[in-house]
Amino acid sequence: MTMTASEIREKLKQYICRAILKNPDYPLTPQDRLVSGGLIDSYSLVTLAVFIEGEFGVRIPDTELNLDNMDTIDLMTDRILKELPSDDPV
Amino acid sequence: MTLFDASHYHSLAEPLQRRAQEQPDTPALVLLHSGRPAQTLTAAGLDMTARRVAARLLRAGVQVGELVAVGLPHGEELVAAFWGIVYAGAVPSIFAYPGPLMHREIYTRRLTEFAADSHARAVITAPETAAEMRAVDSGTRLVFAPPFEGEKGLPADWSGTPCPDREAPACIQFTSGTTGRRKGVILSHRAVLEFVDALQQVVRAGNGDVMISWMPFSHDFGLFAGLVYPISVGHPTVLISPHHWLRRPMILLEAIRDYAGTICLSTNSALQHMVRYVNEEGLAGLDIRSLRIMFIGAEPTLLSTLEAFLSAFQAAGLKQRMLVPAYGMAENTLAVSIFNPEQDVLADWVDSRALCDRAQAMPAQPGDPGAIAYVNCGRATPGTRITIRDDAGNGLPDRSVGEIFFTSTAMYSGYQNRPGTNPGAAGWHGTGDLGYLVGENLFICGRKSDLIIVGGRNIHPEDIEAVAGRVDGMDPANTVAFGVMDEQLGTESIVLVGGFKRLPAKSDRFVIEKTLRQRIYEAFEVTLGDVRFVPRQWIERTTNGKLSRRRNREKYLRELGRSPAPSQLSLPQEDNWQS
Repeated sequence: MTMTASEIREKLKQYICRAILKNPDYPLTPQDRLVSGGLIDSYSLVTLAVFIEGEFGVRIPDTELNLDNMDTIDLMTDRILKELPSDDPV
Repeated sequence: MTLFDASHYHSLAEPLQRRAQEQPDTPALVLLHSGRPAQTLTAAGLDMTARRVAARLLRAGVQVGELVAVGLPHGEELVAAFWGIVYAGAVPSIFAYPGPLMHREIYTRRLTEFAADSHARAVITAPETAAEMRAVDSGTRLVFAPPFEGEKGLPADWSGTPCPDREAPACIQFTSGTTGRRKGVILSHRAVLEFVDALQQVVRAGNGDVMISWMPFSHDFGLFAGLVYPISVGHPTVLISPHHWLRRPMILLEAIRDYAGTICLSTNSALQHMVRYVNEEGLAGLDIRSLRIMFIGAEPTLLSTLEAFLSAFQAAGLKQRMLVPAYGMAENTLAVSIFNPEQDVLADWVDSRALCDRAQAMPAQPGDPGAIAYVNCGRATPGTRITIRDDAGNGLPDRSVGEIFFTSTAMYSGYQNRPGTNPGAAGWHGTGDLGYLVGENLFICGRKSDLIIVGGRNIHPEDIEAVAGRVDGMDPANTVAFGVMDEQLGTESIVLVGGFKRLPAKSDRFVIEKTLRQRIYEAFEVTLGDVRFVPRQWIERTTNGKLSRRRNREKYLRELGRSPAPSQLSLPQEDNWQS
């Protein structure tokens, strides 16, 4: 299965707004800082890592669960695409 | 095994030094990190590293009794820094380390503020943070960084800087909070040694006990129960990096299996976290039958959480008798009361109406209308006495709700730099928590203050409001913060409500919300659970015009159609306290 970067971003955004922020209307941008911006806490970040594993089949090792890989939707998308065949690399 | 006897020791340094002499090569600590093999430290090895730390501090001029702040990640260096400071006769205070989820420059700023606020003479932190701190701090305090390997240690026969007095401070535990509100609880060598003695009596320690903990050392639970207790009585302790545990919660139970753990530390929200992530794969081959005691503390424990945890892990050998809720605070070093599963029942069902109308915890049957359950926090620890008092300070009978007071041998000496805050001539400490006794058993119903407890960390709503009130667009006079219990997370979540004369446009509200979230995270490393913007008249006030966090919380829950958690019911006296 191939997935474009924009599809991944959209799925991440929907999940974060719905399941974590519990506000589907939240105007979250792919550049918004999630952890260091105080939007999602460390427990929710783990939930998000579990979602990424289930949805995209990409496991984020413990050591990569940090701001460099996970602080924005863009960073997460890059990280997912590293292991996912895509027609539309970022 | 020789039992630990507090009266044999003068200083907290001595139990480790004795252990290093008597059992030099037995494993004292096992450190578990992500992506690295387990690291085992012997008592002699830890003693040697602690001597090197002490030598470095003493050579640089750190004096007996001076505070040394520690901001290090989980690991050998953190453990050695704590004991090394104690060896030097100085006073350690461990500042929470955020792991990889905070930008380093923000952490450096917070640690620098903490060091200034707490009047620390020196700081021990990671090399990069140390370099940044030296650059901004104009030599007002000493900054050290590991490694300490090259350090020429103190001689092997050196028995530590003489402790001037058993009542001298052994360490200071700081509460969360901004400058001015942060309180440093001073614990003497006597208090900590007596705590170790008391805990040993409760757990009836024997050969073969192994402690397993994921709790950070910045928290009194992690420091005193996870590290100081097992080192002092001579048990091995397996210490999991908090960040590693967060990502892989099952590792706590796997460590019980792998190291034949008998005593384990957890919190209500940690139990929920494990329940959330358990799956068949995780349960396969999991056997935790070696466990004797799982202490659950640091935040309100819910019966529903205990039931969910028991049901999720009974296949692995978990039994109800292993669950041991406890109640405590740094002012008593750690534990005030601990549940005794052999003698007492785990929960008390009471009628919430009698509680709200008359502050009486009248027995009810599960399933009765209005019946709620409080988890039994157990009996006073050895050396501690508990009373429940009304507002006038009179003792209350069984099942009457009032403020919990205690006095004990493990009690604090006062708050740092706050003269007159010692526990008082009579030695009783008013906890600010509300509860009742049934016989010797203590049940916690809530708090007099509006303190919010997020995953075991105490957050003052005043601090949140002060930071939020300074954000552009917010009206500080109409900004209110309170905690609501999130049963799914098993802990409280912070709600911030901003009142406006004229509500900003929706797009502006999102801009304000983003700034609010960011500022609060940077200041306290907590996340706001919900942010609401309301017309000014929505905000509830007391009769004399002050913001009432309790009434705003009730209104917020009412509008969402939710009922308050048992720990957040409104009791009849509350108006007296809050008006």
